[in-house]
Amino acid sequence: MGDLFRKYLNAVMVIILVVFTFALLLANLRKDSSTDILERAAVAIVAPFQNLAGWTVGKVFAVWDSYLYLVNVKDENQRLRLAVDRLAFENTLLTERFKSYQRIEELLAFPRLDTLPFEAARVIGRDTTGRVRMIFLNKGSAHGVARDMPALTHRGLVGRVTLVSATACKVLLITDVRSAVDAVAQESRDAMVASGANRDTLEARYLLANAQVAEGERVLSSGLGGVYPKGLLIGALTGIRREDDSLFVEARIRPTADLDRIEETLILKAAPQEAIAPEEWR
Amino acid sequence: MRIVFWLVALLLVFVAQTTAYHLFPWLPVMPDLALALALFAGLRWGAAGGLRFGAAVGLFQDLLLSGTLGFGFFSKAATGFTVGWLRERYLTDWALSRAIMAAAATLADLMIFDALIKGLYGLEFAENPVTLALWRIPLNVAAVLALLPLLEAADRKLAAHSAWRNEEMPTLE
Repeated sequence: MGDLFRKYLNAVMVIILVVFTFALLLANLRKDSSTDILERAAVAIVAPFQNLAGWTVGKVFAVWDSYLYLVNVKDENQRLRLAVDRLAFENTLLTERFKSYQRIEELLAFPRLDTLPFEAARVIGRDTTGRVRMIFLNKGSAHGVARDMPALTHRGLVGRVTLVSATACKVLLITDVRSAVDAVAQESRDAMVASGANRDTLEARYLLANAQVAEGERVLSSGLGGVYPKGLLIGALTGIRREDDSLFVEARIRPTADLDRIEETLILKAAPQEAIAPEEWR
Repeated sequence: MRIVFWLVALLLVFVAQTTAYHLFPWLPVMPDLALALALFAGLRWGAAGGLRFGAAVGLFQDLLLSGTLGFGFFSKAATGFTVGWLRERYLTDWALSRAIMAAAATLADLMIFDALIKGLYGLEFAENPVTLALWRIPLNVAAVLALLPLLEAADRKLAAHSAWRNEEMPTLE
């Protein structure tokens, strides 16, 4: 019996591997709490080390950047960049609000993104294999962060929180193939779905053939879909292609947030329903 | 003790995997260090050890990164098992054979991910996995060739320690 088992050991192992894989894939479909606990545990274990690694590297580079490499220029550049980022963000909000007021004069009801509670978080890790697009942030449930909260920078939308441990969280970037944001073009108001494609740009799906979109037009979240509040800047349209026999316009969206290089991000600490709740509107 | 050591190694590999972009910001992707671990396990501990350690590596990768269980688990366990099986029969310790293994494993890893994401989510991976593999292979091969001697040296030191000699991990030496 033992000899027989040893003879077919490799075949048995392959069968066990396939069965376990199948079981795990089924667990994804059910997505029960036990797998969630394991995921949270994995993030909780790794996050302190990621924090430490990021802190160490940050300190080393800070010494180089601040003391050895153009002290004043570096500081000034950083101040100016922050100012530009903030102005770009304010500009997006104001433009969007102005257009909305023009369309619906009676309805002075827009989410005041600038008054909603934000939690600033530092990026402590990211997937670097390119198979998934996600980042780790150093804020978790202890800081009031919860699943499905949007993450953004002054330049635009980054993604949404998909997993939270006590002191860290995982954010699925909008460029991930599993991400889809209901969106609208800022000028033409044409609706679309901004879908991630594991590339640097997103796909603008379901953009109707009669859409009046233009190259470079900004794309904002529409507030539909239940995750992202209305008015968050996603990116700018690029590569618009119209074909005579197609129902849809082909286009891509270049994210305005530099998703490959973000170091800090803001987590919008309000559930989507809260973000667009009447009492938050003006 | 040996298991604890390799679990710590696994943890450190994933910390390095997710934070190394600080050091190499010009690289669009980093080498898949988990793949190097799975390859090492197969080369060092044969098919059974490769399967076990590869499965652990892949499961941790799934839990930590993708959040979709099964993708990394299957890919890394299959890599560990296949490399171990080949090592028991055909493979030598030449760098060339290791480089070929790393290249083949990279391609297989991407194809498995592509097939599973299509099958499970009905989603298309952005690019053809073969095209993707063409520029990921050199990175992974370089990482494997650099990392394997370090892992083997660590394993030899562990094996040399008398207290760890009686553990169950099979070794080819």
